[in-house]
Amino acid sequence: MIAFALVKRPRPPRALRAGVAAASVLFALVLGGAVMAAIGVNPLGAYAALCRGAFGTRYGLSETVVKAVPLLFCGLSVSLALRMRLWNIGAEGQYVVGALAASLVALGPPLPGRAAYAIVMLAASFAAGAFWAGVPGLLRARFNVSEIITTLLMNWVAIHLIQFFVYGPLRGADGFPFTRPFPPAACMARLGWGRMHAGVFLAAGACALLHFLLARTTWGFEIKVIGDSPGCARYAGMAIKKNIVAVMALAGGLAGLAGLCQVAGVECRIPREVFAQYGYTAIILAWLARAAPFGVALVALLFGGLLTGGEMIQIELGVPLSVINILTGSILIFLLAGDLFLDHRVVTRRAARGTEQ
Amino acid sequence: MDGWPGFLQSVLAAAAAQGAPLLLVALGEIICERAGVLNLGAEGMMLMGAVCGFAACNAGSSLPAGAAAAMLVGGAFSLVHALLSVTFRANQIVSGLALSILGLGLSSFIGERLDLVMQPAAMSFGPIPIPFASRIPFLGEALFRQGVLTYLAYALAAAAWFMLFRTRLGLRIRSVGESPLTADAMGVSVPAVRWLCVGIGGVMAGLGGACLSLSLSPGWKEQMTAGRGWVAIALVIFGNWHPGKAALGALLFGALYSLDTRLQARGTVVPVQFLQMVPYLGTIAFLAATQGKAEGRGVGAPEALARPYIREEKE
Amino acid sequence: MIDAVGGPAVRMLGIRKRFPGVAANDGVDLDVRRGEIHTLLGENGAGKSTLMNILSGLYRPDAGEILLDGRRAEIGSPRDAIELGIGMVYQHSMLIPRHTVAENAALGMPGLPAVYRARDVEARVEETAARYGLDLDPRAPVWQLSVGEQQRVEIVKMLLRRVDVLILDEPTAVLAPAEAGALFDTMRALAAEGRAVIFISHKLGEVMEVSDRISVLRKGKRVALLERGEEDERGLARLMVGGGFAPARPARAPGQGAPGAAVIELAGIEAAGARGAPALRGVDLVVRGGEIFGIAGISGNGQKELEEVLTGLRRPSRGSYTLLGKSMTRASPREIIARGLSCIPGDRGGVGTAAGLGAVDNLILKNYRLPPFARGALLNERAAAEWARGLIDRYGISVPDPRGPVRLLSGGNLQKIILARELSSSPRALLAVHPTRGLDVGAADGVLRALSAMRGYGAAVLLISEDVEEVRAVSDRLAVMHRGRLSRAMAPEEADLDTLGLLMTGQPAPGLGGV
Repeated sequence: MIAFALVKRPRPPRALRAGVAAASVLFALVLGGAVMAAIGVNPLGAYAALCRGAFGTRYGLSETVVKAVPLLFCGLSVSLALRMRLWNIGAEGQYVVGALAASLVALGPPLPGRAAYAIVMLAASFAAGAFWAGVPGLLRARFNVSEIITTLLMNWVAIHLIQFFVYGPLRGADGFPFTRPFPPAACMARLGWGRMHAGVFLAAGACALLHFLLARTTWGFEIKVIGDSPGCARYAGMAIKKNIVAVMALAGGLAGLAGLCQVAGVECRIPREVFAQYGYTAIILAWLARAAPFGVALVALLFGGLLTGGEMIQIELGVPLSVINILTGSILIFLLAGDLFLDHRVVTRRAARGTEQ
Repeated sequence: MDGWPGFLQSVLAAAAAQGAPLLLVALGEIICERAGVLNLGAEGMMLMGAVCGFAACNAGSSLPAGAAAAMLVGGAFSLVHALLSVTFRANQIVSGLALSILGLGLSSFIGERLDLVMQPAAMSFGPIPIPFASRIPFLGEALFRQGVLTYLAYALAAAAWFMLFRTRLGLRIRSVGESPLTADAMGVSVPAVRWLCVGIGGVMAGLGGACLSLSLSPGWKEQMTAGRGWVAIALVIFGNWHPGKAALGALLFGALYSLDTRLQARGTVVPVQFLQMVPYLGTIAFLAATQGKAEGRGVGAPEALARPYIREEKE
Repeated sequence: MIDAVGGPAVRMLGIRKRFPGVAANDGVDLDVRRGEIHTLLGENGAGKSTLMNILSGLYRPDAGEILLDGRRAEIGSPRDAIELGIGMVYQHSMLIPRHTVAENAALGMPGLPAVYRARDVEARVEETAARYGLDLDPRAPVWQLSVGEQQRVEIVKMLLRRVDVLILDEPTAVLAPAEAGALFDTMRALAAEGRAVIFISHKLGEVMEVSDRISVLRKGKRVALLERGEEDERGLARLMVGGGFAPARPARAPGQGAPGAAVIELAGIEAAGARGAPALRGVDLVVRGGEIFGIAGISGNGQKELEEVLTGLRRPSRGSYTLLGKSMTRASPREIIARGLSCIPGDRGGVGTAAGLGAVDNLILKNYRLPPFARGALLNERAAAEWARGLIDRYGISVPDPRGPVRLLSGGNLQKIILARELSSSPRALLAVHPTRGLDVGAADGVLRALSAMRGYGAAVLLISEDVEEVRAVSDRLAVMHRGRLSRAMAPEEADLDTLGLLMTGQPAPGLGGV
């Protein structure tokens, strides 16, 4: 029927990789541009405004960074799991319980001083996220239940849990579905540059630390081997089940810290829209960055920039925010399609026979 | 009726109605996953269906035509996922998420361009009492005074069950989802079956969206699905990839949706959010109790779910 | 659909198929007539399965042609094969475990209506099964069935598709003797109807019992075509294992002492296989320092499980395992490695190496936690790279890029990586499983030389191999493994061809007692 066949390419050349990525983004930009042209906006002007808004001004840059922080944490979380071929679809829920745990500490009995708040809130949100992902990890290790399914379901448990607190015990006095504001000592220090907060350093540190862990420690080596070949890892004496739980717990903890940064760094309470789908976006980030921590940081900044720049062109040019989602979606789709040509060579049927196996 | 009977009756009626869009999406997703394709783009397809169905009706087409438009758009939209995940062998998780984001953007864009948010619904599927059945005491009032799409959702559950378990096509679909290699060896075209099932999933999700914007809460607003596409995916798991169990699950999930406001108004002891967690926690516990054991072989996700099938790479 | 008995149904001419490093089929001819049970006899790796995978459309041959009823046939896929009337029952079930017997049979059944009644299919399955004396419940889900029952489902499935060339790939390997007898009755009934039945086996007794003709394959070539009764079991064993034995090498170089103390000790080891059936049924074994102990035998007789027990991947259900005087019966792989056992695993790409990682990573796979590669929890990349470079030089491993995935390397280079890693720790005990399988002569020789060198250093070497010549050539003592048991240990001089051939196929060997 079809006269061509696909032959797996062991290692795509670097130049091809870059070329395909550039072409994918270009196609998406053209598509997004067409949409903008359709509503009477000059696409080139809009793209320029988008870049300026995201990276060209002091304020814009700060907003980009602030938006990148939760994305980075969640992206690191998904990436770590991916290194062991585990899919953490539950960064969203881990993020939510991290935010909740931090808020429970902040709104609980008063603690002596900023440092005490910082340490206890950090520990609480990390532990909550770790627990939320550790359970699916345990179920995977112990009963071989797919972590894709359990992490997805755990998201909903988390969302209902936080709704209980936001609409119930932690509800603000004014009756709106926010929590009471945190005491000032429980809020992260601002850096005096837009809404930039101390969580930025926390995120950068986590990113560097994860890179170090994966690339420079014996544990990172084990994760690499288990991810590549569980059979070989077992034979080499590595404990696979224990590592599944540990990796999922650490991944969950990282996503929990995203929640901490959002409530303690940006909002100083649990806002109504605490679930901004960071957890799902993070899966895309991790995939785009091929699960490399610094790659995730870069992509998180780009996504943060897209969001900030998108808000900017909405205000300046009246381009609806939805165009940004269309742009993101189409970039992804073109990149996914491009992967086929990275990992496979397209050859004709007859030629394919000789090269099989 | 007043007091508890009245309360229960209204909850049951609302449960059936709230469950309908969830069930429509879940049925499509069941068929899709039974063929081994995970489509996390349900939310996006549903949003596209909702906006297009509503826009069509407000532009003057009839209700059935509006629903048909929603199905068509949902189906067409899902084919992006089919192309990427079946033909291009892309990762199904990422591809589905891409579809969700694109659907989110496109639906908002369309809705805003057409100023749909300002518009009252030109028409909607009103309740149609079923003769005789609607006069059954208690149940009749609750279950048989629903919109057409609600009846359709539960009827389609039966149809999906019949298709999957009583027809040649259903056998092929299930075989492709369990073992594409075996199906291929037995002469079944794996890509054709998967394309078809992804398409069915899109059509059903589109209809689920229309069920929201034309029946359950006529009108349109941005992100009006509010995560229902994701709940539908959870419903598939809850229903153990079985249309009948998904239909019962839809009633339960729908009841939990409707309890939200109702229970709060009555000031109950158990917070409603904890009730809402139960199906998710129950599903996880069920999976843990059955997987990896002999009796678990009969249940759970299709074996080849989320795995691309490539014929050239045989071992 | 079925022609007269006796005509050639299948002719395969000059079939060649190469896999990286080996010629699995090296110009094989085969003709199979209607109405006969034609046996393909040969050791593992002789090329039987490859030949049949070509006939059933799973592989495409590099050269050669296939004639069906005298017409040239192009078989591109299993689907093509079935349409041409060729069906194969594989060793690994191709059934869908979660579906019922009837559903499995219905998939691809010709003439199945778009809306079918399960009852009709069940009736057809029951009828066909009954006609050939196959006992089956069509309503049972396949995962509940025994392996023997699953095999029957496969056969019924093929019959319902009107297959008239039926290939059975080692069907008796997983069957109890009574089940095997019933299967032979079915095979005879099928042949009597004019179908061609191709039977793959290496069990001499049953081959003698059931075959009309026998093609013997060895090392990718057909070495004999025999009519029924032309050879006795002994003759078949000789043909299968190969004629001219190389004379056994001297057991040890002059000047080396007698073997030392016991290093690996197994007593009464029993263990279950992957399917839960007993795979090791009381293995007693002592390997001393400074000797090579060879275990010959056809794979699938418990070698894999023995490897897993020795490396700690499988826990024995009974018996004791002692390494250098310390009990390892319940030890983890890591503890066993630390005690001093190195292992060249049977599965080079899936177990012996992490295929997606580079040579450097694969070379430090077992000592990444030890200095100088680790300082505390930190990994010293530079030390690893330096050490890897040294090993790559010393073992002559040809690696274009030490960080590129090793799955791109040839089998010989992959094995050198494993050897380099396993031998560099100066192990007191070394387990080598099929270490030369799939390697060319030069690479294989290098591996065997390395084993001898380890013996010279006083290590206890346990060699598990299917290649009898190799086992005889390098071992100081050897035994044969069959059905989860080991024969008495022998000196290579005692182990002549007849004796080994019979022990390997489960026959009592004269003068040695039973297995």
